[in-house]
Amino acid sequence: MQRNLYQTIEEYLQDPSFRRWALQGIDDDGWEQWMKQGSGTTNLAREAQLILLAMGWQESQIPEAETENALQATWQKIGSSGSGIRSIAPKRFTWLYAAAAMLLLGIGLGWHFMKQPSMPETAVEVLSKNNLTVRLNQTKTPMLIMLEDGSSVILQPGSQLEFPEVFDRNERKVSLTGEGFFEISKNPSRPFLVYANEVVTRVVGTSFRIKAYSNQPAVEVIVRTGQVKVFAKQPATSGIPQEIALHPNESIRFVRHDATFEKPVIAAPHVTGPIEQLQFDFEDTPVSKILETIELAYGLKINYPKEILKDCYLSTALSDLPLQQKLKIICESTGGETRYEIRAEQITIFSNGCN
Amino acid sequence: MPAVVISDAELWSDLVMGSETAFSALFRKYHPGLVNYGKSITMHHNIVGDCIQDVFADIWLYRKTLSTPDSVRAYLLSGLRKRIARKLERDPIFSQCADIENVEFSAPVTILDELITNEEVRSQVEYLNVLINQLPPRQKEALYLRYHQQLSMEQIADMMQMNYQSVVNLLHRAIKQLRSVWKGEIPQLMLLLALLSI
Repeated sequence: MQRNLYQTIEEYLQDPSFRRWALQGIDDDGWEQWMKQGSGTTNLAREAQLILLAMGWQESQIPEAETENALQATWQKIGSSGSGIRSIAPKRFTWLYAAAAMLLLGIGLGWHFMKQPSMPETAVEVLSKNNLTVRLNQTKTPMLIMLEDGSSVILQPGSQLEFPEVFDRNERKVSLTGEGFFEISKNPSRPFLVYANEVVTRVVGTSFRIKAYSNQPAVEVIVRTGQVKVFAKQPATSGIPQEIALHPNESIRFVRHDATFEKPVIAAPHVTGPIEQLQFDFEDTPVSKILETIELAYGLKINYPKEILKDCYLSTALSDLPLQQKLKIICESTGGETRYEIRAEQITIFSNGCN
Repeated sequence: MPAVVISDAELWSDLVMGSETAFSALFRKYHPGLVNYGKSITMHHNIVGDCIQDVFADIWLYRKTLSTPDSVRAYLLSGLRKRIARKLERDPIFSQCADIENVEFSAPVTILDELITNEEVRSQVEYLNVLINQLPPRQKEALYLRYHQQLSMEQIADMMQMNYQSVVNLLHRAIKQLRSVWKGEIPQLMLLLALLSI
């Protein structure tokens, strides 16, 4: 066999059969047996095996929804470049076209909403910049979306968020279909607006949940922290206040068929998710416990050096902060060279211990 | 899901003929890998998605003038690397803080833990892993492209904008350096293992 003639490690490293054995444990050519000879050649092969084992690459899982959104965004890019005349659809996988058509419909509706006369002019500007990202959560678990301004949104399955890559200077605008929990980074000079069905929610920095499923009779806004204002997209019939201010733990329903808001009530626990029910004020709590709470709240996995951080305790209040700011504060208060990295929905904490 | 796997070459030629399904199939197949690769060569993760879209948009828009690549995967990886480099170079915000080179392979390699059953092998693999991670970024990237992505020398040369012989040398140097430290410095190895086990 050829393998007896190999003289360099490289020859083993690129031998498909050798790679299958070393990396997948599939031993078609009796490598295991052959290696037992213990000759100079097999020593080289042993080194090659160790190198392959030491050179893995963490390929993080990219959610299908992310790929679908990117594909749709690419078609939009092609469409907007002018010269991209799309040809007539050919045969294979026709469901795709249904998906594309739905997306176009969605964009069309968004456009329609944005063009409502009651809307400030800037809304049209956002769209005309053609940098809107549409994320549809097609998975069965909540999806975390980070916005450019440091705000974060937990998007429920089947829900969709539309947001610009970069927000306007004066305003941050997104539109939601379905359900999302928002944690908005504070910036009084740059209000954050969520358009959801017929309701607009306006905040400067706070956390709240919106339920605006297109097949439900009402839109609900549930406030967790801070001040939230809601108003109807279309100024409605007489006697209804234009803008309603909500306080922490209050929720309000907007009945769609008669375009009215019901009276705000204290939110019942069952209308919220785990993030609203968890406590983020920590008193002398192990860092690992704090990170576990975050994992639970956001439905994320955080990688961190458990051994190194096992004797680190923190007292900190994080309730009112978006995810990235929570992480930043945890890292800063842990001290040393603790830092975090978010890479393809994976959060990793690097640390060499606490102060 | 189609039961028959359609080859890249077939998909590519359908794409050139204007098949949107072929385009989408290639996009779905390679998007996750490209996201991973993109994020390993720049710390500006926010531009990666956009660059991938640009690469694919260009393929569609210029499909009639494109020649058929030997390997679609190599073509896409290479296209993405160049696109990211260009974006970083042009953008004043990025180019200000960039080092000598804009694109730098920074992903750490990890050990393939689940394949290791023996403790002695594990300690050796762990040590080698430290050594590989200490290699200069270009050597590491060449190793990654050659032995993880399994690209040919020519493809790597094109991607890293080097000539063929330089790639051969780069890879050879990487392996050689690895071996010389690994084989030659047993005392250091013991020290390192002792440190690692603390």
